[in-house]
Amino acid sequence: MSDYLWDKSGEPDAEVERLEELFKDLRYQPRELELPLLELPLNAQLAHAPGRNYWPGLAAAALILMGLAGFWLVQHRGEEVAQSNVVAQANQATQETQPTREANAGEDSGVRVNAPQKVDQRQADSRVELPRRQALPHMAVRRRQELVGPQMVEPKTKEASPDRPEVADVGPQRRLEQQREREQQAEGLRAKEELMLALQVASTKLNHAQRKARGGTSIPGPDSKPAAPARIPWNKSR
Amino acid sequence: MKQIAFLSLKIFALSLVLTCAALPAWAQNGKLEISGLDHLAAKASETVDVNMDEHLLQMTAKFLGKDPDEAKIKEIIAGLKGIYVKNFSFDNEGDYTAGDIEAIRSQLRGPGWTKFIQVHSRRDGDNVEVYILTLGDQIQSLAILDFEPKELTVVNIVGPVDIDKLSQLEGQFGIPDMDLDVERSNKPQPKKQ
Repeated sequence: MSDYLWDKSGEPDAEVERLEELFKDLRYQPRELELPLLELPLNAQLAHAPGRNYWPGLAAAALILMGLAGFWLVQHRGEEVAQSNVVAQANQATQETQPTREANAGEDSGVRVNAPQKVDQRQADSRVELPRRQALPHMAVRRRQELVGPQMVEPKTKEASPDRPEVADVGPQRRLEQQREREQQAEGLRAKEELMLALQVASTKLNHAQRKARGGTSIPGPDSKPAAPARIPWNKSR
Repeated sequence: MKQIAFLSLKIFALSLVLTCAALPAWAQNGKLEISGLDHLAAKASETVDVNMDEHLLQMTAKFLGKDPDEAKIKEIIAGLKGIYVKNFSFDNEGDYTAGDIEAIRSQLRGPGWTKFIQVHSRRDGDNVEVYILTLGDQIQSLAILDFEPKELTVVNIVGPVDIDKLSQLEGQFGIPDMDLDVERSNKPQPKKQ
């Protein structure tokens, strides 16, 4: 069979030539593609417009929103921590008035010894202005360096050396250190008392709930031995 | 352009998944928002307000000695992330509202919280509710809500707390029991039949 019909090679076929001649005006002619402009609604045209992809914008907007939300959460938590610090300092201020109330404890039958009085709001506010003093010991060195400079917190052996001219400054600096240590000690003791109070309230309320649930009324006195602790039904170890 | 869009979509989806995964963990840290009760301090005749965050607890632990009692406290607070107590004693009934209670209680309806004890006493108007937030078998947070006609107490201990050890602290360390129970014990008890 001739390949003329396929690639015009070989012997021409008369019938094929006749048909070619007949349809030559319809043969393929390379030209640029022209799409007709459709009469679509505006929204549809925007949606199908080339280069109009909204996903990157949406994703960027969502990321920005999430970033803002994260920033807000961090800020919010920071405020909570700051607030807790303020309240803790206010409580410490309350504890400072404790000796007066302890002196009056005998008149109060000793019942309210550990219940601090209402915190004076002005006093609490004034405490806000103060720097936070309950710093950890290792932070104290850093703060000291910030306050008096690094040369003042060198080891004591160097300070005691007669060759060094800074010896004259040792007295005030050591007094400052001792004062700070005393302050930290006092802060720690106050925090300890607060902790005792908090745990005592928690323990009392917990036992109170248990006694109520059981319908019991036995109340251990202050001097009672802790040998018979309230048994908590949810404790699996017992 | 298509590749950038696809990449952005993937980043967005990943961020969304991570955010969704992190939010419940953040919400379930067990710390209640109880600062809304602060306005009651103006009406209360006595207020106990203790706010100890993790940092303060760690610092306080350093001041606890080695004697058995303080060692016990050190053991209890080890790993805790916070202890928050608010106790208001009022001179008159109705100084706090049901809305104040509901503000706390609504937080305790969240996922993970279980109401363990609930006692309502019509006789003396005492109501006690104990909630725990558990993760697996471990208690992650404890909340006690105690409200009486003239007293309101909210305790929130955040972190793995040993409730049994905590309950043993009452009446120890030279700290007398809270007046709440002492006062109640002075009231004439109804005769048992």
